Amino acid sequence: MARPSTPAPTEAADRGAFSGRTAFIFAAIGSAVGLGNIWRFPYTAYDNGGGAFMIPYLIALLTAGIPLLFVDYAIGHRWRGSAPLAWRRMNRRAEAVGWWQVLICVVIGAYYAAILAWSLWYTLFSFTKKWGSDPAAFFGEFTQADAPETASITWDFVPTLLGGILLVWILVAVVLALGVHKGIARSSAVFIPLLIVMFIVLVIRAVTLKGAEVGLNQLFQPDWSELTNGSVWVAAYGQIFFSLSVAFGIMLTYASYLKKKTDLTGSGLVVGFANSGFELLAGIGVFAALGFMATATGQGVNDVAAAGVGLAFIAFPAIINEAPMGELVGVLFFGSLVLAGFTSLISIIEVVVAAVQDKLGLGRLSGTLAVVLPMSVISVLLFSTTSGLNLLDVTDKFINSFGIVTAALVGTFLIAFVLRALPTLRDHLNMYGTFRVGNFWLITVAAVAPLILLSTLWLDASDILKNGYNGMPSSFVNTFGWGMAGAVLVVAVLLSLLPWSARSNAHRLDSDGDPIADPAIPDTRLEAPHGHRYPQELRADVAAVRQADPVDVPAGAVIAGSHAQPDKVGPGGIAVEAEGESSAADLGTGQTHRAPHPGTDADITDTAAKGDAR
Amino acid sequence: MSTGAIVLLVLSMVLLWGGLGLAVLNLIRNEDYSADRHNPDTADAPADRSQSRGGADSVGRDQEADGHAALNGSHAADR
Repeated sequence: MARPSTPAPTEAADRGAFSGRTAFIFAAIGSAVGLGNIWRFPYTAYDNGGGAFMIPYLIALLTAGIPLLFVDYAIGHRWRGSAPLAWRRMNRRAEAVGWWQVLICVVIGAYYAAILAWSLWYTLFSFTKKWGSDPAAFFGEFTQADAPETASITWDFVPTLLGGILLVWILVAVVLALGVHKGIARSSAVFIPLLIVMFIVLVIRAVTLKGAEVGLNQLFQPDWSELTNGSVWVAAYGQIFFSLSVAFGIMLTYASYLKKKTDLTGSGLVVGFANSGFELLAGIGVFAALGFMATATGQGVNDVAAAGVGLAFIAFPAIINEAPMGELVGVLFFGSLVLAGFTSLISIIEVVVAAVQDKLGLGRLSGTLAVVLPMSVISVLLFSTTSGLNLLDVTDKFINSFGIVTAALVGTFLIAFVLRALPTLRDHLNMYGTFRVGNFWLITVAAVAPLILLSTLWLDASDILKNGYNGMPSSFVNTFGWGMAGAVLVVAVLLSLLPWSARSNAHRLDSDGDPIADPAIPDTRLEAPHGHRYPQELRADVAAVRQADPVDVPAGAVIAGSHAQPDKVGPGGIAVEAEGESSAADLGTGQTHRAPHPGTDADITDTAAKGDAR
Repeated sequence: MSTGAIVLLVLSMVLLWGGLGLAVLNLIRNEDYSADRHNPDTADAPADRSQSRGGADSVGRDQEADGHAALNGSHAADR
């Protein structure tokens, strides 16, 4: 008996969108550039071969970071949904991976807000150097943290932390409620340039401090012998992986908001290199400052070098105490942490909001409140107490090492070897990408990335099973480390078993009212639609037209057969616009444009057909 | 600073910042391929629809000529 067919969807999902590629790039850079760029990379590089570390780091960027970024972009952009919905649309069996990513973001978002709250307070403290002469003691009083050896859950709230965390969540709610364009994109478009300017000023200040070259020398002096040490390579890949926000739903979600004809790979290259470029800048600034500190106190750089919370809230205040115009250094440094952290937190919570919107069919405001209200309560309850720092420490370690890494490993394995969807994703990327991906990308995603992820997982698990974690009681680690990581996976699987109601976005067209792409068929290539022109062909078309008629063909000219409106195509196949319409500004050329002379052989369609365009 | 440190510092800057510059240049060169043009989903998105449905940046139908088929592509009968 024939199964009844599902009625075709007719209603468009209401998901919001980025206005264009630039907005997306700023938002993606905002997501990628976060606290880890500033406080993790410098020490990781220093501790793993110094200047020599840049070799595995760069290789990791090109063989894992950017390839995995492309995977996220392809899935989100093709199946146009939040993480659970996009994975489900790719293949129903894969939905749990999407929920896993969402729950990872729930956990990270809860404690990330706490760190952001600290950074906000310290920005204010910088004006008066409130930490005094003993920043370490001050930080202990500020957090009122229990010693790691006696870590346990307490309900002793610290008012300043509570207030700071609440403020952070209010700001997050405002930005997210405004939506993808007016909230996420606009905030990123303001904060990222501001962050870059602030950090450049900070770096200039740092490198001009006395003793800065000592720190820079320590950071960049290469120890080539470390290149034969496998853990250095794992550290490089780990740094890239955690730094670039790949494989835990963020870039996938952001890509789902992109217009269809977007240069995914071109944008991805900008995001990847921007993230690493900023890390390098951070490394220079941080170690220049550490060099100054070491010189000022008569110590070695290795005595003052630190990472993470210790670097940000203990080492840097000490530097600020010693540095000329220290208040400025402090405001710039902690302000940068706030900006970098806030744009990252926005992207983390957006993964959850998008999933809730898709699952329940909620609008933007209700979806945001449905996520932010409970998450802020959890965040305050867990991380504004005297047990907050220890809980943050163990949660961060385990969700990264056994949440993100494991989910990425499972996801990559699933795509490459179970669903065998890489050819589909490759062809999707190449349909609109100016940077074509081929076999190298397939190999890095299918082989390099999983191997590195597995190595990372193995090393971390072995270390913790053998040595425990940070001297904390095993009951604490078992509950909030292993238990949390396991619970996230179990809940993700359970969520994937829940049906998608008719109100959900699973049964709707995409935001533009177009049908969603079919699920991935194993080992199957995509055929480009009839008349589709690849970016390389379009570029060749423009070059051919210029060669045929070099007069006044603007850089942004659209050639017949591309996405120009048919009625906008003038003689010779060059798209033109009538007087008064948005014209050169759209093309960014500042030039007016006109059709070439009629009767020329600038008919691109013919030229392309002859194969000359390639 | 030692020679090795200077070389690695400069090399890192050239590779990473140079890579960024090339990537940005690639985007600029291919600006004609951007989906920003002829796009009704501009920065000034239409106002909210109903609370239960609308976000402040709800979007309308993509009017580009290739339509939905351009995104989906079709699976080649390649079995």
